[in-house]
Amino acid sequence: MAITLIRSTSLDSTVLTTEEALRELVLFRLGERTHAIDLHDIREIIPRRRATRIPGAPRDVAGIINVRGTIVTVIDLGARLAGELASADGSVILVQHGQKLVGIAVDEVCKVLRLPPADIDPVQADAARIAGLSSEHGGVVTGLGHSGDSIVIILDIHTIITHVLL
Amino acid sequence: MDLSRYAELFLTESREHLSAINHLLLELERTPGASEPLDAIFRAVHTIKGMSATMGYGPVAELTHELESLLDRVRRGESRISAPLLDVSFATADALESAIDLAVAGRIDEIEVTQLLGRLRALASDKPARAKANGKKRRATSDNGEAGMLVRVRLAPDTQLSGVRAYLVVKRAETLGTVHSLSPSIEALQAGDFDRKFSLRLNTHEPAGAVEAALRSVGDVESVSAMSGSEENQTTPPNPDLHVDPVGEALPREALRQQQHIRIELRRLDTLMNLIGELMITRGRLVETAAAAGDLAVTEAVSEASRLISQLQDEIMMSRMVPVHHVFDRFPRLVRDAARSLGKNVEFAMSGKEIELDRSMLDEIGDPIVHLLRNAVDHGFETPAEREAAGKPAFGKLTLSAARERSSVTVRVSDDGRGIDRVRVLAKAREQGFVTDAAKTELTDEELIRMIARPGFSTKDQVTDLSGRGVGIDAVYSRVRALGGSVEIKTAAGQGTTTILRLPITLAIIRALLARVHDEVYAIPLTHVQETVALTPSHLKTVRGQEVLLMRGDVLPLVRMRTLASQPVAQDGTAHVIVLELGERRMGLVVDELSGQQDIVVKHFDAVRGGAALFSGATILSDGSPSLIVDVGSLL
Repeated sequence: MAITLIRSTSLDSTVLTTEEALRELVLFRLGERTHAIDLHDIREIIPRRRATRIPGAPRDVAGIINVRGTIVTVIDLGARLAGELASADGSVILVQHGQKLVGIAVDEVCKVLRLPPADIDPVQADAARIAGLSSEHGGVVTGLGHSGDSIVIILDIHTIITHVLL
Repeated sequence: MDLSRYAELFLTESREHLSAINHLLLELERTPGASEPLDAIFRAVHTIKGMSATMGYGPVAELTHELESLLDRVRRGESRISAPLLDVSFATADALESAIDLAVAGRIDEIEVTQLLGRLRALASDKPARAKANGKKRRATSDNGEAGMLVRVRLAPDTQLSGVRAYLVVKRAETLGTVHSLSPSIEALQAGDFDRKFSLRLNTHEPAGAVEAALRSVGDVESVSAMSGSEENQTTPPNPDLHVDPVGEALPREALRQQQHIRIELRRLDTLMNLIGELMITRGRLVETAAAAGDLAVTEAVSEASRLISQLQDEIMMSRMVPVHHVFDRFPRLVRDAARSLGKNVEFAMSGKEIELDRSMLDEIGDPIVHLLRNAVDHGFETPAEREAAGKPAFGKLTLSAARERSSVTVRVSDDGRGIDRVRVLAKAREQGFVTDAAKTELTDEELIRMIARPGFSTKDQVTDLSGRGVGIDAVYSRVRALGGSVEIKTAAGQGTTTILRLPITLAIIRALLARVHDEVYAIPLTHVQETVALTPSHLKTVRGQEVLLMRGDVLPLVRMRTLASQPVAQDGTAHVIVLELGERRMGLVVDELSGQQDIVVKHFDAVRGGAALFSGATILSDGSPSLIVDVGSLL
C-alpha cells in the first residue's frame, strides 16, 4: 500500500524548523467520512485479510489475524464508528497500544497529512454535533482538522482500543 | 576500567549466595550447635563482601562486613546462636537482597542500612574487650618483611572473562594492603593475556591465611597461595610457573569434564523457542504442500526435514528446562517467616526439587505456590493451643512436592491443619448470594471448589498481612488455568487440605487435537483429552434439560462446541465427541470433525469485551490462519 505524502497548501515553503510543530496524521476513509489518527501511533499498514472470529465478541471486533507470527486482534472501526462493517477489501492499520499491537480495519487508507496546530480545532461539544458525528464518536474525537475544503475527524485511537479490549 | 559491565555477573552470583545463606540460616535455626552451616554462611557472606567491595558497592560491603563480624564471633565461641541473632541475620539477608538490586541498578544512594548496621553492631559488641585483644594479637604476629607477601593466584580453567577476574583479585588485594610487583603486568592481565596464573607482592598486616581467604572469595579462583617474606626464603623460588599445587594440578581436567555448562541469556533461549515455533508452522505447510505435489523425492526430503525439526524442537525444549528448586529454594524461609508472624508452629518439608520445568513456566508458578503456602499457614493450621486440644502433634506438617506425570508436572501443597470448613464456606456463599437454595445443608467437593475459586471469595473475616485479602485462591486458579494447567483440592475436616496443581511441562508448545466446527477450527490441548468417539445418535439422551451420552454404562454430560461458539446448530451429519477429563470431572465436547493431532505453538491474544471466556490462547495453523485454543478448565 503506497502512501502519498502531501503537505497542506499553506505549507509549501515552510522552513525546516517549523516542521517539529506539525502534527503528522494518517488519513483514512470510513464510508463517506475522512478520519485521522496520529502517525506515530502506527506501526504498519497491511491489506485486510480474513480474521478468525472470536465467539461472543461484539460486531466491532473482526477477530484475530496472524501478522508474522504475532496474533493481532482486529477492531472493525467501520462497525464501531460508522455503523457499517469496514470493506473486506480495505486495510488494517496496526497500532502500537502500549505493549500490544492492535489492528484497526478501515475502508481505505488515503494519505499522510501534516497539519500545523492552527489548522486543528480542538473539539467542542457542538463542533462534534455540527460535523454531524454519531454518538459513538463521543469522547474519542480529539479535534477537527482542516485540509483544504474538507474536514478531518481526528480520533483518539487509544481510547477506542481501551473500550474494546478487555 | 568500567565495572558496570560485570554488574550482571555480580547480581547472579550474589543471588545464588543469598539463597544459600537463607537456607543455611534455617538449618542453623534448627540445629544451633552445628558448625557446618555456620562456616558455609560465613564463606558466602565473605564472598559477597569481597565482590561488592570490588564493585564499589559500599553499603553492601558494609552490611556483609558487619554480618561477617557477628558470625565470626559465633565461630570463635564469643557469641551464641540466639533468636535475636538469627532474626538480625535473616533481616540482613533480606536487606542485602534489595541493596544488591539497588546497587546494580545504579541506585546506590537509595540504599538505607543505617538501622540494620546499628542492630548488627549492637549484637556484635556484647563483649568488645575480648575481640579487641584478639585483633591486637593477630596484628603482632604478622611480619612480612619489606618485599611483602608473595601471592600466587591461579584462576579456575572455565573462568569467563579471566582478565576481569584477575583484575578483581588485584582490586581485592588492594583492600588488604599495598600491591606491587604484579606479574604479568596489569595491562596484560586486563587484556586476558595470561595463562590463568599470576603473582603479586602485597605489603599487609593480614596473616597469609586471611589473604588467601580474601582473594579466594573473589570467585573463580582455583588456588591462592600467600607466603610471608620469611617463609618464602626457605621454600620455592618465586616463579609462579614452577609452583606446584597438588590440589590445583589435579583439578583442571576433572573440572573440565564435570563443568560442561555455560551461561546463556534467557532472551536467546526465548528467541530460539520462537524461531522453532515458526519453523514448526512452516513445517506443517511444507508437509501439506509436498503431499499435494505428489513427488516422491520431495516427500522424502520433507519427511526427513520434518524429523530433524522435531529433534531440534526437543533439544531446544530440553535446554529450557530448569529444576524447580530455583523457585522452591526460597519457600522454607517464606514459610518460616509466615509461621512466626502468625504464631503457628509449622514443620515444612519439600520433595522433588530436582523435577524440571520450562523456565517460563517456572517463573509463572512461583506466585501461585507462594499463595497456597501462605494460605496453608494462615488458614490451614490451627493455633498451637487448638492443635493440642485436638490431640495433634504440636508442629503442623506442611509439605510441598513436585512430581513428573507423563507430559505434566504435579505440584502438591499439603497440610495437616483444620481442613476447609464446609459449613462456613456454605454460610459465606449464602451471605454473598452465591447460594440461594435454602434447603442446601452441605457442599459437595466440586461445589466447594467452585465456591472458593470465585473471585473475591474469602471466609476470613479479619484481613491479615499474609492472606485473606479476598484475592484468594481464585488468583491461583486463574493463573494456573491460564498456564494450561488445572487445580484440584482435597480436604477433610480436622485432617487438612491438599491442593494439587497439574501443569504442562512447557508453556510454549503443546500437543493438541484440532477439531472442525462448522467452518472453523479449534485446538483442544491433549492433556485433558481422555478419548474421542463417534457420536451415536441412539446413545443420546436428555436428562433434566442436559444432553448426555450413554457410554459403556456411564453417563457423560455433553456440551456442543457449536453452541459455545455461537454457530448455527448442525443439521444431520456425523459428529464426534471429545471426552475431556479434569480431576474427577468428565464431559464430552461435541464437534463436527476431528482433524488430527499436532504440536501447536501457544500464543497470547488480546481478549475483547464480550468475547467468550473460553479460550486460553491462540495458535497459528499450517495455512497461516490463527485458531483459538479451548480452555478445558473453563468447561469443566
